[in-house]
Amino acid sequence: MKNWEAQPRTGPVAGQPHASVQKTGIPGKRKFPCRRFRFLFRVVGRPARRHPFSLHLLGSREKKNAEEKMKPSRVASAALYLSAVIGINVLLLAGPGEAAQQQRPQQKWDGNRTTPVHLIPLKDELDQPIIPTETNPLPFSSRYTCAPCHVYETIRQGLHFDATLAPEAGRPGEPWIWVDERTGTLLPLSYRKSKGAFDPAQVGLSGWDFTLLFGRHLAGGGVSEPPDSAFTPGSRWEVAGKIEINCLGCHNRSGAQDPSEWAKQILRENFRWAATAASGIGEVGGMASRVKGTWDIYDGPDPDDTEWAVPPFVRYDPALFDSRHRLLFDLDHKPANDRCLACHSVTPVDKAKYAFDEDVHTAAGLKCASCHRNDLGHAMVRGYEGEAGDYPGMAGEDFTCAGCHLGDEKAKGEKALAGRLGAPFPKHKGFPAVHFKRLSCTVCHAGPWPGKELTRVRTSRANRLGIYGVARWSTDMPAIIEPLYIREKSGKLAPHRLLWPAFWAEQAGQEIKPLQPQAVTAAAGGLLTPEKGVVRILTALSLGFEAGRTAVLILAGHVFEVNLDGGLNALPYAGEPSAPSPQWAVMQGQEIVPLVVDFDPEAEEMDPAVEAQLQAVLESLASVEGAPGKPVLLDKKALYQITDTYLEKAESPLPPLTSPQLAWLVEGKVTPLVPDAELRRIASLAGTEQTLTEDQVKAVLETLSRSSAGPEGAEGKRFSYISGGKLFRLDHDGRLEVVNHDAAGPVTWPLGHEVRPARQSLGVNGCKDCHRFGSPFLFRKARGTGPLQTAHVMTISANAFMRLDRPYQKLFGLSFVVRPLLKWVLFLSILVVGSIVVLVVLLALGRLSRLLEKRN
Amino acid sequence: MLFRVISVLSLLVLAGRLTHLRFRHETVQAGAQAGSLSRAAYFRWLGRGVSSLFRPAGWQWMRATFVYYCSSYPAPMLKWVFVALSASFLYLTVSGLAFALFSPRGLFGIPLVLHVISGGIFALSLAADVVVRAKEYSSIIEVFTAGGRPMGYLLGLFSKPLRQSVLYWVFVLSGLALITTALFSMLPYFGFQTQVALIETHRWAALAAALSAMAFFDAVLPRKEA
Repeated sequence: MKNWEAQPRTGPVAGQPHASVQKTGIPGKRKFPCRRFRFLFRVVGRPARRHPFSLHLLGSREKKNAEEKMKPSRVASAALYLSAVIGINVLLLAGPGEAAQQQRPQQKWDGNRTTPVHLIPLKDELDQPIIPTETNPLPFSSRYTCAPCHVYETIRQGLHFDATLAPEAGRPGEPWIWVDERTGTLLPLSYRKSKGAFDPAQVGLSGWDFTLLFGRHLAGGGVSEPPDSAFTPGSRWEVAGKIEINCLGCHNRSGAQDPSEWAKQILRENFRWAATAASGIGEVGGMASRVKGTWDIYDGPDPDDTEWAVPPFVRYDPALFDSRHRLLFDLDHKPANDRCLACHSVTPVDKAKYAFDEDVHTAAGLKCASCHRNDLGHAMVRGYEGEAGDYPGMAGEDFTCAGCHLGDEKAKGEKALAGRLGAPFPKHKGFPAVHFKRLSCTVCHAGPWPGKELTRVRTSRANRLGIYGVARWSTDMPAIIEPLYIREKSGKLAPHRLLWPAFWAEQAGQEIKPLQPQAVTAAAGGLLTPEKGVVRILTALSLGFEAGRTAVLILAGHVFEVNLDGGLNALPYAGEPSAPSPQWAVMQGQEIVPLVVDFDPEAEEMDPAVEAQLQAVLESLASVEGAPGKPVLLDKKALYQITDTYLEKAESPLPPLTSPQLAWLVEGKVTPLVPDAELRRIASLAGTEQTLTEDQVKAVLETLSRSSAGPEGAEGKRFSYISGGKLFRLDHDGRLEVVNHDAAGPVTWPLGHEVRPARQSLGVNGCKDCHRFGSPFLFRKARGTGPLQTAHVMTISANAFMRLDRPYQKLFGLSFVVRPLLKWVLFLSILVVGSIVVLVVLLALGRLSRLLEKRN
Repeated sequence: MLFRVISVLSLLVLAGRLTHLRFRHETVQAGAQAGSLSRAAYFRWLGRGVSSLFRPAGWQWMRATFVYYCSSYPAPMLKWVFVALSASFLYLTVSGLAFALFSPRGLFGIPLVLHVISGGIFALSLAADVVVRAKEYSSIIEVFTAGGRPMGYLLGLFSKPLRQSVLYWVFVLSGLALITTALFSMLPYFGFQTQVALIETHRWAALAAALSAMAFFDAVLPRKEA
């Protein structure tokens, strides 16, 4: 890796002409080798370096002639060539990082406590300086821009970047959740070994797929910066570029740092441009996702397509750069809390933003990075008990709860002292010492107060929080609940968050292999989108209305209208339906009127307005995509259809109906406009966050089984669906059966925040906060939830998570009812026994003194 | 670790000493012969005694001992004081010392609940017993000086009545310490360091109570006569 400061300057310094520029003898006038050279000289002051997009190449005729004259002999040339080859090989083998380290020893902190001013030139991924005004510059590269001073290879070993390098990473953290609402998938994924989470490779996800799915909240590096040898078929790393470690994502103090822009660029596959766009240093346009797979950065823009498949480009604002093309980075050595919360926000679902209380440490003025520290290696302190055992060299014990609040009794000197960073010393009055052996500090002090129901929360990474734009990014699913108190490997209880996974899987014995949502969608087809038929019909009907009027469906107490995503919004319907469900209607503002006005089909003459309306409705229905037949209206004994553009009345083949109904006429038979099964599914899921019904699951499982069966009808693979803590599969009779399975169990991970103040900790009201007959702490239940609407869910009691005996805990809780009586008994006993002891002592002293008097 | 070592050693040493004294008394009473006071003979005697506890003869002996102790209480009702005190203390000692010595986790579960209940019974019965028996064991000074000085004092120091009095009051004071530390640990006034100190005090007081109770029981129980 080149050190830009160490490179000898081959061109002139600013203000001085290049050697190729000849003097004409006229003041202010010089002779330039070409017009482009002259233009660039005026703009840049000296020739630009060679660059893929640059229009100017170094060199002039005179220089070349001079070089020709100075050419050495052939032997000398060969020797020079060989030594150059050997030298290059040595450098390549040593590696750029090592070369840089050899050239420049690793910088040590000189003791200055301020952040140095970073007025530095930008470098691109080719290690070339970025000139903001040149045509088609590349985005800046953190590897080469930051790296001369901060060794990149050291940083990439850090906690945020080493998931694929360090599967064992101490205490488990939150897994990534692959959410697909259509297939009802909530699949926990993690490159680190975590109970309940699947390795992405096991699910068939390459690094490219993983980056596309989760790059919105990735910090760069790691899986999103694979070596060239790790490129998988189907990936587009050459087009999109790699996502280098996004230093500015954490260390940029500027308010222009935009996580939403980062997510947007990742979605567009503008990986190498994402950091530039998100930091606000440059404006990025174009979409790598639309560009052909053969494109790379050397191709530049496509002059034939400036509308659709525009390759990504960046435009820098020259005003941000000084005359030497250096940019001022407004940096924070210790990142602000906003940078951390962009990916690590956790908030209760039902809480308004203004009502949310932050962590007590934050309220006291501490930053996240005040405790979660790291050196250049970025192996961040996580602050859990026992971290020092997992990472011996990190001084993790210093930043646990006890480390700051209690000090280390076994240590000497300053480390033995409590009160670091002003941490108050807890007295824990009346708190029996056994609790410190069984509970971690966070049980009483972190997370929400344990109420009757568990608290549902949303997290940045699972629910895609903090990304704002035209579309809504955040999702309601997955449902994550907290706090559940689970015993960790240290034997202590600690609060955890919990997720019930949901996914389709191929089952071989007890082994479960999750299926990708796209595979399920491909096999299931329309089974997973029962609303599509209704959407098509409502869309077709709405096209025939004037502005302000929308076709809706009234069904099961809900009004369904088409939304922007092509799905259905369900609103409660307060009115009385004038006809049996389903009813097609028109919504105009707040008013809902029937689609087909009331008329007498047995009348001799039909009102022309009614006739025109009927005709318009039937013509709209005829344009429905995938219509199975001709649309008809049935009313009493009549059947109305469009024949040769005229409304024709015929006799209905069905018994007389009490109210008008729309239907399809398919080969002479009348079929419902929307199949009953689809209407049932839509009705049952209306107003809920579930997306699947049991009959849908059964139908999909049947389809999957059929598609995997052999050509001769041999038994295919066994498939299942997991949701709400249960596994659903088809039994030998083809019925849906529900069983327990380890893979369906909840996925949990510890929580550390938000820490509550001391006056809001568990136990502040006495022992009964936890120890009473029906205390939520011990006895509330975690009920399985998921995308499947079913009564078959797993329910686990809080004491089961703690591995405590329920009857005993009930009994123990009851004992606290008589505890005040016990205290009085002990007190009175002490009074009686103590009084008598004192009396006896006094008597004995009296007798002794009499004895001594007698002797005297 | 220190508590475990000292507890085991002190209990074994005291139990061995007391049983050895009884063995010597019984052997001498029965006519000592050469080798009849050897270590082997002692262990044989001990084995016979322990095994006899599981036979009808042993049960009869225990019943007789119980009747003897109850006879020292003036009113029938107060016999139940002795029953409550001894039964609760027995359970407290066994459960407390067993978990303290052999369980890394300490007392937990149903034994813990029973330990707390027994503690309440122990406190009440100890108070009742002290009220009844305090006068009997309060004449320590007279017992100590009964033989006259100076040799009388020395002899008085080793006299059985004085030994019984001292052991009784050691037991009472240990019991008072046990009850006090138990009560204080339930009050919301003491911080973590004090709680730890209360637990340690409770343990050592329990050991002292167990040792004094063993010695007192041995001092009061008459020896077999030929």
